[in-house]
Amino acid sequence: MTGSEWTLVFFTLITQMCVGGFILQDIMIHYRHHDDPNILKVKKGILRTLLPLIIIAVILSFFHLGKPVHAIYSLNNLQSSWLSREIMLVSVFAILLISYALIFWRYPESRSLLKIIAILEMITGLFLIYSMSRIYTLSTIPVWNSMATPVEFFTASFLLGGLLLMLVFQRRLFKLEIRELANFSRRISVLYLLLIILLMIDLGNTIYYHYIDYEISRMTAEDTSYIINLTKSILHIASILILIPQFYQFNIKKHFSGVLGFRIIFFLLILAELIGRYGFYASYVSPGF
Amino acid sequence: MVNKNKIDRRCFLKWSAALGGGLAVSSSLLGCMDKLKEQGIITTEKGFDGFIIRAGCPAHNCGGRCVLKLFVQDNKIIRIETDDRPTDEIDDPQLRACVRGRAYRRRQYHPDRLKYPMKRIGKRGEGKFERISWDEALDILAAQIKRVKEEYGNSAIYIPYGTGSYNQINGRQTAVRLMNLLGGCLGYYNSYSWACISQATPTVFGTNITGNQRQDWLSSKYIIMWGWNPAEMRDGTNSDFLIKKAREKGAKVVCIDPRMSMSAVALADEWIPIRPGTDVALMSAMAHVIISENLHDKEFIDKCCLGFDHSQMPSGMENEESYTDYIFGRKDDVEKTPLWAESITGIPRDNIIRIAREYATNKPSMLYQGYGMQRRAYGEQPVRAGCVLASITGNVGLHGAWASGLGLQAKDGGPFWNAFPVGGNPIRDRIPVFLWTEAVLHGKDMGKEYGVKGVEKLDNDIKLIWAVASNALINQHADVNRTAKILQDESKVEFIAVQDNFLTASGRFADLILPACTQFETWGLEDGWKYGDEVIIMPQILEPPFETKSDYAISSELAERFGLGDEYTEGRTEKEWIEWIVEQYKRTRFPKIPSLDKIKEENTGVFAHQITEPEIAFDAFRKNPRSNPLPTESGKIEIFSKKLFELKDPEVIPAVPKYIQEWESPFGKEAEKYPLQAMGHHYMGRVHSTHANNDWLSELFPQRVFINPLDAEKRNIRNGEKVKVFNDRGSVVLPCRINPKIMPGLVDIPEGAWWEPDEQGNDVGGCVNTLTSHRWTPYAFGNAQHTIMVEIEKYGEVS
Amino acid sequence: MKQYAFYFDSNACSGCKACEMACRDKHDLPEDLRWRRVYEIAGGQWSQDNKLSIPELVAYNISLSCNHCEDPACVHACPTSAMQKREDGIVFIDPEKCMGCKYCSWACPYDAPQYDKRTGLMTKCDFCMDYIDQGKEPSCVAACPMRVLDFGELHAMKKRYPDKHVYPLPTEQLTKPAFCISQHAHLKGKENMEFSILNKEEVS
Repeated sequence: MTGSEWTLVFFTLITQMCVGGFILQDIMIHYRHHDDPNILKVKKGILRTLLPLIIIAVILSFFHLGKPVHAIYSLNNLQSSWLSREIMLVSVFAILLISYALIFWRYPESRSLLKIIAILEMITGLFLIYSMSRIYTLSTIPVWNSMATPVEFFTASFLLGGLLLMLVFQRRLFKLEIRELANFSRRISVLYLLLIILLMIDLGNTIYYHYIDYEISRMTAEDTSYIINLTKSILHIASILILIPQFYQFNIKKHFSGVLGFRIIFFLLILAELIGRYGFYASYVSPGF
Repeated sequence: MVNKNKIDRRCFLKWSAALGGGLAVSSSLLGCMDKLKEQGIITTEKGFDGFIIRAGCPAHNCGGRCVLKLFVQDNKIIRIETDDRPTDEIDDPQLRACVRGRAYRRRQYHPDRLKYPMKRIGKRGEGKFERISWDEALDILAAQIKRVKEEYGNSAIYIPYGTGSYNQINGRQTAVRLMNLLGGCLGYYNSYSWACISQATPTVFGTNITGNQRQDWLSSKYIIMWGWNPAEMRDGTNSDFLIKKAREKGAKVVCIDPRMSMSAVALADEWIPIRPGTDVALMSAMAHVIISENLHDKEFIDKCCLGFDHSQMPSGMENEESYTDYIFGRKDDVEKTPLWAESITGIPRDNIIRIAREYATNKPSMLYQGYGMQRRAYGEQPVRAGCVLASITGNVGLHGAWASGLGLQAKDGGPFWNAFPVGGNPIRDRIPVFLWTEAVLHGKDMGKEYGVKGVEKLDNDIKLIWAVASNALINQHADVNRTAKILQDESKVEFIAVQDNFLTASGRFADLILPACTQFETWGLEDGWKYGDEVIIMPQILEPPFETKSDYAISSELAERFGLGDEYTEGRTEKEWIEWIVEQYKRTRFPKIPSLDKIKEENTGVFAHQITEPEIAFDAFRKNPRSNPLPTESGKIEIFSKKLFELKDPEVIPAVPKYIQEWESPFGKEAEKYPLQAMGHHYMGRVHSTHANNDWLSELFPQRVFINPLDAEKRNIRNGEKVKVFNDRGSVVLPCRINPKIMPGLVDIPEGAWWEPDEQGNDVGGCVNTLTSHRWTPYAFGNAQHTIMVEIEKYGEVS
Repeated sequence: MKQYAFYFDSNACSGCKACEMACRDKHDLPEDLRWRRVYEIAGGQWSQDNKLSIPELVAYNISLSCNHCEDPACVHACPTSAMQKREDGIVFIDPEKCMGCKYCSWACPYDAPQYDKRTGLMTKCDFCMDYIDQGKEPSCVAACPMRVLDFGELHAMKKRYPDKHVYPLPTEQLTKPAFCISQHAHLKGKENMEFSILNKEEVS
């Protein structure tokens, strides 16, 4: 993997985190709570985090181009190139996010406008993640060309996005008087339990692909990627396992033991994703090599 | 669309930079191209705004003689294509260049080109030099030649074998012509390529012209490529292609080779791996099958051969061992059965029986001998045995047959090697070329027993060496470490001048370096290598860069220092010599050749004969052996050689061809210490050591030790890992490549890589001659460099 | 529609790489760009029986460049439309549009598009379309000393050379490559042997 592919990996992860984060905060924090100054503070905190992240991601994406000035042509092939579509969608997503943030700051009272933008942003985000995954589901690279890729991308989006929100919330979480935040935390824990199922599917997929006969892909399979993907899945599951007692304590025992656990999990998940992406690229082998 | 002009411009700038910026586009350079334009040699082509000129590919000692189509822009060759004559028929096929010719720009514009004369400043062999002027350089060489002439005599001067430049008025012969004018120098006979085969073939046939013209291969029904690898070593432009065509016409092709060479892959129906050095065992067993199954051509043998069985022995030798006596073990009690040969050659007996039958019954059939097997201990034997197999099956003097042996082309022996007149050598002393290190060490002791010809004993040890286009001083001679020691001793060879394009491994041992220009920078001409009926012209396309000069110019200027300038040049420029040679051709092999100017005008680069009725070697002899006897003593094919018998050394020079166990053999005691045989095949990326520094070629053909998976496994060697190949003479350290296409028990280090000793004395350049032996063959005094045993071990991590 | 295609006869390819070098020389390619590659393939092994080593080997070479596919994955993938297919089927890159995203190289199963780190652009075999337009042969075809490389119209050639693609080529279903081959005769009945590329170093 070359340096430019790493910028691509970070672009992908950060974008996924932003999409997941935006969607989760919007779904889980109801607009009727916007009168609550605490909630407003939290939302501002979220936007303050997402905004620079998406800008960094867009900038990073340019580093992987050999000739960034020619990026002006990048929307030329919307009819058949998923990359073209992704570039369009990420641009729209970033613009909508910026608009949303600006309106939120300036005119926090125009809720319906914010709502409309948020809905558009969520739809854009979902399509963005889908088009991202379609970039990789190439029939010419059979190891990538499966349902596993979109599943992985959506999983990563909500795992990372949700944890990002937890980290932003962390300072306010133990002040349990904000009921909405407690509810939010509860919803997140349910989501994570669901994600566990997806992660299991991913693990199964990794193992399955290792053992099937690559009839179509004898030019592209390589064993090392198996180990890497397995490592990723194990890290994923390990991080969720650490998360479960945290949620238990928090939601059932109503006891907040601190943010360290979340930080560790966040770190583990980022690491797992990076390893996973490395494995993803390692599994790509050009003809006969 | 890619803007081509842009690329060309970029390329031009790149090459300027590659030449170290030392070459500005001067008016003199433009002059060279203008001259060509005026002479009408160059044409233009749509889509390219420079000039196109077709010329011979610079002739090194490959078997190819091909045409390059050169795209020249701003006095730079910016692209190389090949022969594009509109027709490409069997009787006159296009002379398409191989990968070496196509990569030539990287040699031509190599940053390491020698740029100016230099003299040695460090110890000899250290490779330290300082720049001097041409005047000083030529004065030094002239003074040294004078001194050695006076102190020792002309026979102490030696112009070694060298094939780096091979195009009539360039290379070694320019120096020889001067030395001959100066009273001569020590001569040599044989070559590193053909020593045994050129000496042994005449012991059977009386001549080396044993080959039909190549188009005749298409009449063959069965072709054995025995250690012959035309696809990789380029044994004549189109030889591989003609075998392909013969196969398309229905010939079965079998390749007998220790390596599954590219010839085995691309040209053969079947590959039979054979343990190196055991060819005669296989040939003898084949003869056993053929004779005992009555498949031999009795009529032909009766009419044309001598010594087949005891009824055919020369008078007075009726009781000596005839060929059948040997085959059936009547004297030595060893019958040369397929079973006997199986254990020696490693070939299952059934295969031996089968190919013997196929060869004897699918007539006309060819047994084409490559030259690798005769660069071995007792290399005379496989040559003679091959000729005998061809003879007893009657495959001599027929369409589609092949008499074996050296196989120079009927009727006249094929192309000229030297049309440039070098004059007679007034010194009669001649050594076998492989024994020059002996002549350095103890020349004065050397007589007949060292193969010395012309005199009883040499008058002198070699005291002055002037190597022109030769890397045989170190790299291509056997046992590099030994040769290096000999050359380092300044009391032995007192002066060494090396004239070349690059500082080769040999150049490092020079006292004086003379920078020669390349073929594109001087006039030249070539007419085939061993085969071919074409004349390829090589006009001067570029001015010699830096301070380089042509070999001819260097010798002319040196001649002037001896007051022999006019005698040397006879008033001719290089181009005028080429015109003169074309005239010689017109009077001999090419009566229809137009003038040089006319060939140039057509700009095909080549004048070719169509060969519609290929010549057959020995056809007159076959038709009537009495009235057309062979130039042997008996006039017949001498299966039993009286001449060899009379040498009275039957153990190593038997009168009938015999299998003799090699002096370094897997069957000998030496195999306990060094169990693997080693070989050095001709690599596609080099012509011997020429192009060894061409990055484009070494990237496509990296220098590696090739080893069979079974041998690698035994030594726990992984693919790509650095390994050390060694014996008592030296060691080579290279990355290995595990390759099933080489037989077990054998390692292969392609020959020609430049010797590059590291601090421990390991050769990290990968020159196979670090491991080879300087022991010579008994009869031909030829090089037996391929007979070596080695061991191999892990050296370090995967590279 | 016309579709140019390469033809390669694996039977008599000697792996000499004159095609690859001709390509490199014509397009002035630096060492890390290989628009045409020659794969040295071997399958099988040596068996040792009664002191004799018997080879059960099949070996052949494959000379491979861009196959100018009928269904070119690279063209579909390219976001800028720099990767284009001409009327005559030749697939080429417009350097004025390419942004060097390398996505075409992922999409291609033959590793034909390659990134030039000097210019930041993708590069690939363009069938020597400048030569084609002048009525000449592609450089590699004109170079082949064994005359095993050829080019022509795909559908006409496919009728003459219907052989299926062999190792290490992927299935033709993926991109419908405009590449006809003749399988090496030694391969008949041995297609299921385990093959490998011997000269990975020179083709990666």
